[in-house]
Amino acid sequence: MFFGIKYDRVISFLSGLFSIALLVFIWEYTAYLDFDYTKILPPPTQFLSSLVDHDFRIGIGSQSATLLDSIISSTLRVTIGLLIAFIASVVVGVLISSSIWIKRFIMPIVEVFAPIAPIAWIPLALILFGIGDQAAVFIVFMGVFFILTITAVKQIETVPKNLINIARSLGCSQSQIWLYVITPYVLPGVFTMLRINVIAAWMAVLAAEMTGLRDGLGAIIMNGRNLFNHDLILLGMLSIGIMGFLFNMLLKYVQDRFLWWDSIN
Amino acid sequence: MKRAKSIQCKNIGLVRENADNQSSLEVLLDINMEIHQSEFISIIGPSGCGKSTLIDIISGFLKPTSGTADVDGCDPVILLKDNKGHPRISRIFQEKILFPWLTVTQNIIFGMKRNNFSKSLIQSRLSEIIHKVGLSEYAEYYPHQLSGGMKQRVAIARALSVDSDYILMDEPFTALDYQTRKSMHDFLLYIWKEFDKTIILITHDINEAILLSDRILLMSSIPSTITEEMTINMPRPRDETCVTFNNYKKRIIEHLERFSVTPTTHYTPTP
Repeated sequence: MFFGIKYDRVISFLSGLFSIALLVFIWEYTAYLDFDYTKILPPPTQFLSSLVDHDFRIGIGSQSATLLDSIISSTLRVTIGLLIAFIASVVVGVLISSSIWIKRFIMPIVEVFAPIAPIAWIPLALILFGIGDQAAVFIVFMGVFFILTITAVKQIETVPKNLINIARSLGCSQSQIWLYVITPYVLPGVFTMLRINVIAAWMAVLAAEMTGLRDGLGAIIMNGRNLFNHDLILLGMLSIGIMGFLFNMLLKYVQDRFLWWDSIN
Repeated sequence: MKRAKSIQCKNIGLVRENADNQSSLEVLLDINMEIHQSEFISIIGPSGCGKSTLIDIISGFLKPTSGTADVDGCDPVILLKDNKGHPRISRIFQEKILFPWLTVTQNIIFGMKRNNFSKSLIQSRLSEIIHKVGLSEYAEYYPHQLSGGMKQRVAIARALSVDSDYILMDEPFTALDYQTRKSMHDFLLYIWKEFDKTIILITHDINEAILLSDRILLMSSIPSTITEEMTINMPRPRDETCVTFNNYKKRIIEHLERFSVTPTTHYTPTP
């Protein structure tokens, strides 16, 4: 605080950059000194330059894809799955909450499905959709949809009676109250839950790419393993780390920019 | 027949079933009152006496178990159900009163939009009201950026925007600090005169009630009923420190002590 908030952020950023640079330096230096472990863990200069040598293409012959393709396909799978799950869970949450009887009958089903981790949906997804994008989207969707629906239903229960009564006395119909009061009220809470579950969804897609799908970041690691190519393994791992980090930043941005309100005012 | 612009409550009683379905609690008992157009009424009573329940009935949120409430010659429950186009009664609460995802402007026009008012009407009303409530500079602010008093102003502006005849306020200024509360009193009187509204104010604050109202209704603790009706014959602006004011205050305090259900326990410090 002494330097002011802006200064503080710059210093935090530089410190982070420094420690990463130090890590890379030690790694490179020990490789230069020919430490044994660097045979298994080649340093960045090596696995990154091998990527350049291959025109950024990974894999063999016609099945090869550029690194960018892999990043895009993995990210798109996760994003589309999350987007559908987010919208669907709010809609379904509203529908379930519209009647106490629907809630009594439907919620137990949702609560049984919710604890099934995204990764557990992989075999079923591969059977249902085969190898392809649909399978990955399905895994993400099934993995987070139920938990988000529960969150939506719980959030709807917390909408203050005051707000609903105000809307009623201002002339809102029941459907207008659902659309203009209850739905916006619950969006940030559901989105927060989505952010908590994003890592699990992300990991499930990577696991699916390792086991079934032929492209994506997970497939790079698997390719590396099959070809005994340590450069590829590390390249895949690094890409996953960076992409996960960026994806989380993106979601945080979306929350701060579009779904920032908390329910207290 | 000319429609009477008034609120009438005849023998209203309300019995609330307890959660165990075995016992019930008599909240309101034989409430009779009449509120005329353009009046400023305050309701004072011990806490938990059912003041809010009473105005919930007038707003149409609740049906009384006995007796009838009547707003402009209609049942308030029906009035609330088809109030599209012209909501008659607006409610102002103490907290959680604004939609946090909407700006001041969007909050104010919320009701007008849901009632499908024309664009030009929304525009002209907005610019008139936002100016009169003194929020022109804060039009694009969000509720969390506003102080408590400003939030109340927005809520009042929103009630004015749909031009409802009655504004029912449930302890709106309780959470505000002294200075803000004072300025809100002046503001409320200004709005009341400027827009010619009928205001019912529920409050704990005896000073506030005497300062603002034409009439004060005093309620007993539950099963509560209106035990006294007091017309305040003082010209506005009123002086909180003058003798007449204090006489009114004395009468109200005596009344509250008489009808308070919990016996006054005197605190004796142990040595």
